[in-house]
Formats: sequence, structure tokens, C-alpha cells
Amino acid sequence: MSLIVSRKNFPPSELMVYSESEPLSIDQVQKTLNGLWREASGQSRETAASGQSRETWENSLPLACLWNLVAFHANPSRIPWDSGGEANRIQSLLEEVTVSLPARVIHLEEWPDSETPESGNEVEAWVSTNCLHSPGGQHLVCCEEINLAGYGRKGHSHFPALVRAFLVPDLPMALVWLDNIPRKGKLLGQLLRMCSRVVIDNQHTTDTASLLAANDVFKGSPGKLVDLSWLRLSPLRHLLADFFDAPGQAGQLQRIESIHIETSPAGRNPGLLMMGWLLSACGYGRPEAVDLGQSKDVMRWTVRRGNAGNGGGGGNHSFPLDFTMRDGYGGLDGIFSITLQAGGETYSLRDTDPEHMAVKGPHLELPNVPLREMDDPGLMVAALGGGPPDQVYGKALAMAALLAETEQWNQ
Amino acid sequence: MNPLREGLSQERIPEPHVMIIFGASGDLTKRKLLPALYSLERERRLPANFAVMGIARSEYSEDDFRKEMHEGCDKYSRRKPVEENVWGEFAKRIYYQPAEFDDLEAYHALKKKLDSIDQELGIPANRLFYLSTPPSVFPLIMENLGKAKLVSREFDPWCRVIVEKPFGRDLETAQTLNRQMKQVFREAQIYRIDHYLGKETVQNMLTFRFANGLFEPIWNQYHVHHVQITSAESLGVEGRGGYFEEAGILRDMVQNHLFQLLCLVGMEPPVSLDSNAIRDEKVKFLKSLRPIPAGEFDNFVVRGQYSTGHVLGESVPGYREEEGVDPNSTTETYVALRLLVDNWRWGNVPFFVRAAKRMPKKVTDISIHFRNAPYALFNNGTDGTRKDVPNVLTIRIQPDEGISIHFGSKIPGPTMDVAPVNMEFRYGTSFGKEPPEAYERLLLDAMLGDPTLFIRDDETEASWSFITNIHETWAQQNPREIPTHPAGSWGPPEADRLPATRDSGWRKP
Repeated sequence: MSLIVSRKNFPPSELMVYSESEPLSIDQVQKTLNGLWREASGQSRETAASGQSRETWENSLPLACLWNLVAFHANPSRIPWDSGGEANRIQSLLEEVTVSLPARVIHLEEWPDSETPESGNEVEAWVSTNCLHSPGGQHLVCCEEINLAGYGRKGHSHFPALVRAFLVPDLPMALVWLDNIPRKGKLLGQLLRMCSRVVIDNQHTTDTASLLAANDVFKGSPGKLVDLSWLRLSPLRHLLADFFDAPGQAGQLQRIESIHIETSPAGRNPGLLMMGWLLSACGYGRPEAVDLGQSKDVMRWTVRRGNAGNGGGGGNHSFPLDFTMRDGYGGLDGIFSITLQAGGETYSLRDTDPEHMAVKGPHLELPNVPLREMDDPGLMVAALGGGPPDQVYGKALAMAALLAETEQWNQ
Repeated sequence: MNPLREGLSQERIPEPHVMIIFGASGDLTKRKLLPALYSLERERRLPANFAVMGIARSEYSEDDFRKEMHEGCDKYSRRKPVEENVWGEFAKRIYYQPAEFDDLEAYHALKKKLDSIDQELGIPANRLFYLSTPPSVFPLIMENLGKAKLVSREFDPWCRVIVEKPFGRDLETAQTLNRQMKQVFREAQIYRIDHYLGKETVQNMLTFRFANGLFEPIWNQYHVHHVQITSAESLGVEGRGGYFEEAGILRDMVQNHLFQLLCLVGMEPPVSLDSNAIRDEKVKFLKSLRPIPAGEFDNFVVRGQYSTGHVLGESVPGYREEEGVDPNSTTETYVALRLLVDNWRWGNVPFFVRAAKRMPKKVTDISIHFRNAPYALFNNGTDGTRKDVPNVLTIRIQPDEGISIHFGSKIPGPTMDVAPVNMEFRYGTSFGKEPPEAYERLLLDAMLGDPTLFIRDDETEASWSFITNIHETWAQQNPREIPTHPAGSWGPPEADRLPATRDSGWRKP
């Protein structure tokens, strides 16, 4: 099978997938991978020999591998290797990611309601080797994929040991957990101990409990958690920060009079993260919920101004935090607008369309700024590249979890 | 301090400022500077309160200048074609003022204009000057900047100046230029730019050597046989014959770019990543270069000039037939050096450095050639000669940036035959992430006040000190004699005498 992978700003590359269509017994996984590897190398040598004069043994297929990526998804809505469904989305996402970050990918699929297959195995495997023709060259970069499907109630209990067996030694492991995060999950706990990075996506679910669970993971495994929904907020955070670079403007953040964030349903958790970030970055303390009755689409909290850190505005006045949700598409981050009043000035970011924002504040008025948002593969590459996850996120998440807790109480 | 900037450090944002480009109507502004600024803007790496002011003799209107720069970005930007909505916002903050560099009044007018931009955009009078002009007018511009009180030696608001090469044409002119610049600016405010240092692979030299425990223990005279640094261009002088006649390849490439590569390969580990710590080590290395021994000049330096030939399938004229070149010119278009370093790490390890135009292909790389195994257990020929597989570590700067290691491996089968194999790392396929253009990185660093990738005064003087000796010797030799080689070949045969003893000679990268 061959397909063209085209990422924004990159030349298209041809991705060759060598795979077996039948499930394997576990002890055959490594052997089959080696066989696929030899097959791919043979094709590489043929390509090299046809156009180049270099010795063929100098053109054997190089294996590039920077990460072990372990992706978990429960209850996939497809049978393995069929198209459609969430598992397929994750698989496509990781295929694109490995073009930029070569990796061994281990997919863990949990089928708790399935019968054990005829083979009687609680776990089955499929493997494939993906080879990339680099643009203009005969050299290939490859990634290996191992799919493990666990059937019945006990199937998933095999996963931790199998992951340990199939990890490429001496390389870090990232756990890609884009499903809802369970607050008490044995499998998650076991995998967390093995990995050096966990990639989640709090926008993936509108359930605010996910923020609380993420906060638990962050506290239990400091320095490991990267949240794609947080990375999606980066363009908005930059735009907000731009307001306060001008001389004298940073002090305004200690004189906040109100914050209002409006989101789509998909932007609920990112909106709470954004609110959490603004409060924690400016040194404000615990918010208190205001009971607005039955409304689930409007939420309000109050924060005391005197809680602000150094140079806080003083006094004991409180200011409101308003959060509203409405239907519609709020762009990749799900947020329609952020309005902040501080020191008698108004600072606002407002969607003019899903890809542009109007920026308005003292010294800064840009009617149609394009949002430089990354697509999901780009975000995943950012999550796995660069340094360790930042502490600013931890503080924003903790504050967002506080907001989420009281928001649940409100309902 | 803006608390919302915390955690956004991965995308370092400079403080609000105005960048003032002198010589803004020149090619560099259109081809490199504005496209780099546009890419930075596109990636939101510039502060919102940022403006560009172009100064040149040409009588452009502000709109004409913006149009010209838009064209440049559309053609040369890494992120082409230009996104009109990004450009629309960016262009509003691009200004232009025609001026004669010797007209003091124009500098007063510039100050007024900058003050009004500061007020409009909320900029705290931070200034980044960029001198994209011939070096002959640097002193004049600097003097007038000082007289019009456009330069402050204070830290807040800050004021910096970026100067383009060449930093002089020999040791004396470099020293004079440094002295003149420091009458107006402190050394810490002067950013001498060498775009090679903005290249990702060049920066990776530091990481490769000092972030890995594997290589540094063998990075010395006990294990390294010799080092080769090659910078080959397939192009000729491309209409710059007049300039090249004055410069020659030794000034144009070796004194700056290749000596920077040489420093990064040969320097000792810095005590920290602080800009001065790194530059201290580079200067120390340059000062360790052994002066070329009197009477042995021809065994250490070979120059050449390309004649008519064929490059990449095209017939090309010789250097002396190029436009703007003297038909009897002895300007070198090829130079090869054998350098020895007098320190404990590199005693007796030769560094071969060559730069040339009209080579078979465009390539810049560094290769570290390791010593053979002490005893040839394998591959002894029937005639008793050794057939070693050389271990070579190659760092490719351009194109296809990456690193490869060449070593011997047993060929599968019943015999113990050894064949060379390559282990490759390529930036493009390992990270996928598109590296920024060199100017993007360097402009951003200057805006952020990080001079690590810029050249300090003593670095320029140390490298000129070595290069000036070569020019002086050439001047004493018969100026009519210069070896030639056909365009499209790897240089004159005279250069082959430099890498003595080793069977491989010059690499053909």
C-alpha cells in the first residue's frame, strides 16, 4: 500500500506501508517486523542500485527512531484494520506524526465487550512497517507499528507487560491517551510509571471531569503531562500577552475588573484552562462560584482582587469571571472571545471568523489577525519535541480544575 | 515584567522596538532581511509593538517601499507566497525615509519620526540599527547617529547595531573599524553578523560535541588523523566580478565563514553557554593557529583560479572572462590551506580548509578523519598491503544538513571481508520541522540581546591577523603566477600536495 502524506509547508512524501493482514501470535511480532524490514530494505537497495553508482551496502535502509509512542483507545468503533472511527483517527494522526518524528508506535485497543476470538487469545497483534521516501532522495526513514487488541474483561491486563517487551530500548516512551482520562485507572497508572511523557487532549471531551483527572495526573507525574488543548491555546496566549508588553501595561494585570470568555461547547475545557491561566499567571487566588440557578451555559465566579500577588491592586473588591457557551464553531481552540477589563481599559480578542481575530486594546488595534494555529499532527510534534512540559500549564490546570469543581457544584 | 509571557519562552518574544535599516533599498533588505522579518511575524515571534524603518538614498515613497518589500517577501520568504492578511497588518508598521548618509539633518528628522512611532505604538525607545551598507560608510553613519543623539549607551531603553561583513579587508582596517564603532557603541551593543552562524547545522556543532559523551573523548590528536572543511560553490561570481576582484575567496569565505566552522570544530568546551564563554574559546583557538612557517608557504597554502569548463551540464566561462574581471586577474577563486594548531588537543593534526567557486557541485561540509586501527587484522591484500576502511565522521552544513559516520562492517558470508557502510542522520527526515532561515535566527537573537552567534571584535582581529599574513606573502610572490583548473573540477592539482601521507587525499564530497 502506498499513500501520499502532505503536510502544510512540507513537500509531499510517499509513505509506503508494508503490512500483514492477518493477526499474529505475540511471539511472532518481532520476527515479522524483521521480515518486513528486510523486504523494505530490499526495495531500498533496488531503488538505490537503479539510479546511483554507490555500493549497494551503503544504501541499506536506515531506521530512524526517536520515540516509543504508545497510544491507547478503548472501545474502538471499528474492527481492527477497518476504516472509520476514533481509533482510525488516532492511527492516521500518528502516521502523520511519524513523518516528522520517527517512532515505534504501539497501539493498544481495548475491546472489553468482545468475545475472545476463535484463536482463544485474549490479545492479538498486527504489525506494519512504514517507509518514507524522502523528497528527492533514495534514503528512507521508517517507523514500525504494532497493534495490540485486548478482548474481553481481561484483555487489557496483558498490555503493560507487552508494552515493556516491545519498547525500543534506550528511547523514551510517550503515552498518547486521547480518550477520557479515568480518575482511577489501573492500566493508566501502570503505563504512567513506564513513560516519560503523556499526551492528552482536554478539548477532546466536553466533560469537565477530564480536567480534574488531568490535574490528578499532573500532580502524580509532574513534568510528564502535555495537553494538546493547552498547546492549541498558544496563539491566543500570545495575543493576550502582546497587550501587556507596552510600557506600563503589565501593571494593569493587577487591576483586573472583569474577565469574560465565550466558547463553543467544544471550547468548554480550553476556555476553563484559559481562565485558569489568566488567574494563576496574574497571581489571583481561589475563585468562588456564584449560583446562577439552572443555567448550564452561563457560569460565574468571583475572585477577590486583594488576592493578587506582588503589587496586587489592593483592597478587597471582588471582580466577576463570566463564562458563556453558545453553539457554533469557535475555531480549533473552540473559543469565540476573551474580554478583559483592567484599570479602566478594555482588552478584547474576538473571532471575526474561525481563523481570524479582532484584537483591540490600548496601543494595539488589529482588526483581522490570522490565528497561527497548528493542526493536530503539528501539535503532537510540538508535544513530543522541545523541552519538558511547562509549569505554567500545571498552575493553569490546577486553577481550571478549581473552576471545574465549582462549576459542577453549580449544576 | 509581563506575567503572561511566562511559559511562552519557547517562542522568545523580543521587547517592543524599532528596527532601522540603513541601505534599505539594497538587495540584502529585499532578499533576506524583510523576508526574514515577515517569516518571524508570520510565526508570531515579533512583538506586536514592533516597526521597521528603512533608510536609503533612493527616493521611494513609503508605499513604493512597502510594495518593493512585498515583492521580495513573495519571492524569497520561506513562507511564500505572502499571506495578504498577515502582510497587511505588518506593512502598516513599515516606514521609509530617503536620506543621504552624510546629511546630519536627515538624522534629526529620523529621530523625530522614531519618537512619533514610539508614541503611536507604545514602544519604549528601544532601537536596533542594521547597517546594510558598504563598510566605507559605517563610520559616517555611526558618527551622525551619535551626533543626532539616536544612540544611547544605556541598557534601558536599549540600542544595538548589526553590521554586515566584511569587517575590514585586513587586520589594520578591521582594527580601525572596531575603534570607530566603539566611539559610538559599547562592544556589547555591536552585533557583527555572519549568516553561517545562523545555520541550524552550524549551531548543532556545539550540541553534537558538547551534549554527547561519545565524541568528545576521541576529539583529539590521539584519535583524529586530520580534519577537512570544504565550501564548494557551483556558481561563479554571478555579476559580482568587480567586488570579487577586490575580495578574492580567502577574504570572501575563509576569513569569516570557514574560520567560524573551524573554531566550532576545534575549540575547547566552553565553561557555559554564555555568549562570552563561547566566544572566548573561539578566540583562544584562533590564537592557537600556527603561523605559516617561513619558506614552507607553498606546502601550506595553494590558490587557484577557474578556467573555462563545464558545471552541472553547462559550459561556463573562465574567471578572467567574467564581466567586471581583469583579463589578467590573479584574484584567487580557489584556496586551500593546511593549518596546524599549537595546543594539547590538536598538536600535529592538520586541518585542511578549502573554498572555491565553480566546483562540480554546491556543498559545504566538515569531515573528521579518524586514525586507522593500530593493527590491520582484516582485509590485508595478497600483496601484503593494508586495506583499511577509514572511519570518517561527516557533518554536512548544506545541502541535506546532517551527520554521517563511515565505518567498516563484515560482509555477510563465509569470509571475513570488510566493506564500508554509512550510518546517516539527516535533519530533514529525522525532525521534519522546517529550520528557520539563518537571518531569522540571527535577527531574533539580536532583538533579544543574545550575541552568542555574532562575532566579537577580538575574533575578527584574530582571524584577520592570520589571513593578512597570507595576503602579504602573496603580494611578495610573483603576482602573475596562479594555478588554474577547469571549472567543474575539484581544484588545481597543486592542491593535492597539501594532504600528504594519507591515501585518500581531498574528499570529494
